[in-house]
Amino acid sequence: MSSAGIIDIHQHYGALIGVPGSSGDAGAGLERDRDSRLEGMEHFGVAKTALMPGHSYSAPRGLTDIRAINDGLHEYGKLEPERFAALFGTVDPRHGKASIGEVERVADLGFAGLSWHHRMQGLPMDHPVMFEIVARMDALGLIALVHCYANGDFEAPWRLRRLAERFPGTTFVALDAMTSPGNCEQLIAIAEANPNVFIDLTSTLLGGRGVLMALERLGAGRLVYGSNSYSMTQPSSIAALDAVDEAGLGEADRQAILGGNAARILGMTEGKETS
Amino acid sequence: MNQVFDINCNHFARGNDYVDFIETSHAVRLAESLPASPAELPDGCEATFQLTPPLYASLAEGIADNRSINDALIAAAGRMGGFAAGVVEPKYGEAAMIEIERIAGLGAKAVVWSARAQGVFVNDQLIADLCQHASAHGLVPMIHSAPFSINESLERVWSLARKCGSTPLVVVGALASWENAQAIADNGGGPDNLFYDLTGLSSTWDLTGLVRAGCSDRLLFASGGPRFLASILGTIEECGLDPSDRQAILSGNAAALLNLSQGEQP
Repeated sequence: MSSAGIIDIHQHYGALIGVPGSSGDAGAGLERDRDSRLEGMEHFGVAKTALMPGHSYSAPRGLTDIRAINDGLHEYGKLEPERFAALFGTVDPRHGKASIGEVERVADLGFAGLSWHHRMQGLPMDHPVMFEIVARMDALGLIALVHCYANGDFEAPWRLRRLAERFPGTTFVALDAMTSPGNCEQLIAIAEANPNVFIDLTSTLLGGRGVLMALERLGAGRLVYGSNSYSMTQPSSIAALDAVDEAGLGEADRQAILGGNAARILGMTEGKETS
Repeated sequence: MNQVFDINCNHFARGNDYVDFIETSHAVRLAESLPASPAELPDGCEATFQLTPPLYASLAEGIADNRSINDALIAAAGRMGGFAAGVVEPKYGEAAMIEIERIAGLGAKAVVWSARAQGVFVNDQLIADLCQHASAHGLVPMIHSAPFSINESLERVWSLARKCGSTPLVVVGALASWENAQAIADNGGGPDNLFYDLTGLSSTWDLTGLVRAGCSDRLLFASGGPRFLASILGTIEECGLDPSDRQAILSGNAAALLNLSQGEQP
C-alpha cells in the first residue's frame, strides 16, 4: 500500500439506467450516500478516491441536466474533501460544441478532469466533437478518464489511441482496461507508444496474470487501482484488489499501483517512479 | 410499374455512422427544404417514403430537440404525401412517453431507436417498455442493429423481441452484415415478431438466402437514404425473385405492417 494509503481512481456518484443488471442508487441523499461510501472505503483500506458521475443518465433538459449532474458531484465532493480527493465531471458528446462551455465551467469549479463511458453516451470516443472537447481540456490541464470496456465499439482502444496521439500533453486513464485479454493487450500496446496513457485495473477479469503482463511491458508506474463503486453499493470483494494480491508484487510496485501512481497523476504528492 | 415503399428514407445519412452528427437546427432546416420527391427513381418506379430521423443529432436542448426534429419530419412527410417516423430518447423517462403519444397524435407511423446512438443496451427493459407504449399508440417500433455493436447487436435485438411479446418490431440495418444475414436465415428469421429492413444490403446472395429460408414475408424495402436507393433496388432486381416475394418485399409487407389504408398504399 502507498504510504498515503490506497487511492481509488474509479468510483461513481450515482447509478446507471439502460444497462441490464446495473446497480447503484442515486436517490439516497448526500449524507447517507457519503456514509455508505466511507464505510466501503474503510472496509477495503481506501484512503482517498476520485469520483465521477454514472454515465447513463437522463437529460431531458439537455445541457441543463448535465450542469446539474456536475453541480451535484461538486456538492457531494464538498462533504468530504480530504477523502473525495478528485472530482471528474462529464459532458455529453451528443450535445456537440455546446459542451465546451461546461468544460470550462467544471475547470473553474476545481475539477481534476472529465470522464466518459462512450457506449452509454451515444457517440464514439474519437468523434470530431470529442477532439474539440479534449482540445479545450488540454489547454486547461484537465485529465481524461475514459472507459474502454471490452468490445464496446464506441470506446474501443484504437479510438483512445487517436486522442492520446493528438494530445500528448493530456493524461488519459483507460478505465476497465482489463475486461478481456484482447482489450488489455491492445491498451498495453497503446500505452507503450503513448506515455500519457495509464491503465486502470477496475473490473479486471484477468486476475494476477493481467497485472503481471502489464507490469512486464509498462512497469508499475503506469497502472492504477479502481473499484467501480456506485452509490449505495457495498461489494464483498473488489476484483482489482484481488488481482494485485494474486500477482504477488514487491512492496514498491504494490504501493505504486494502489496509490502512488494515482497520487502523482492527480497531483496529490510528488510521487516517485517505480520499476 | 414497380411500387416501392421505402420504410427508412433517411436524408441525414451521409454513409458514415461514426462521423455523422448534425446540429438539430440544421436537421430541421434540411427537413423543411426537402423536395416533393426525396429521391431520384429509376424509370418505371413509383415510391412512397417514410422519412426517418437522424441517428446523431445534437441533444443540447434535450426533449425539445426531439420535438423539433419530429415536427419537421412530420410536416415534410405531409408535403410529399409520405410518412414520418419519429425519435425519442429512451433515457428521457416520462418525457419520452409523452413525446411518443404526441407524435402518434400528429400522424407519425413509427419511432426509430438506435441503442448505440442513445447510450443504452437495446435489450434493457426500458426499451421494451417504450416499444410496447409506441405500439399501443399505433406506432411501429424500428430498432437499429449495427453489426457487432455491444449496444444493439442482433442477439440483443432478439432478446428485446422476446421481451416485447407479440409487438412487431422492425430491425434496421442488420443486413449490412453477412454474419447477421446468415444467423437470420439459419434461425428462420428469429423471433416471430421481427421484421428486417434492407438498409445496408449489398449482396444478392444474402437476400436470396433469406427468401429461401422462408423470410420473404418479414423483409421490408429500405434505402437508408436517397443516395442508396438505386443500389438496393438494383440488388433486389438482380436476385430474380418470384414476383409475389418481390412485391411483398418492395411494398406489400410494409403496407400491412404499418396498417396503411387503401388510399395510403403505394
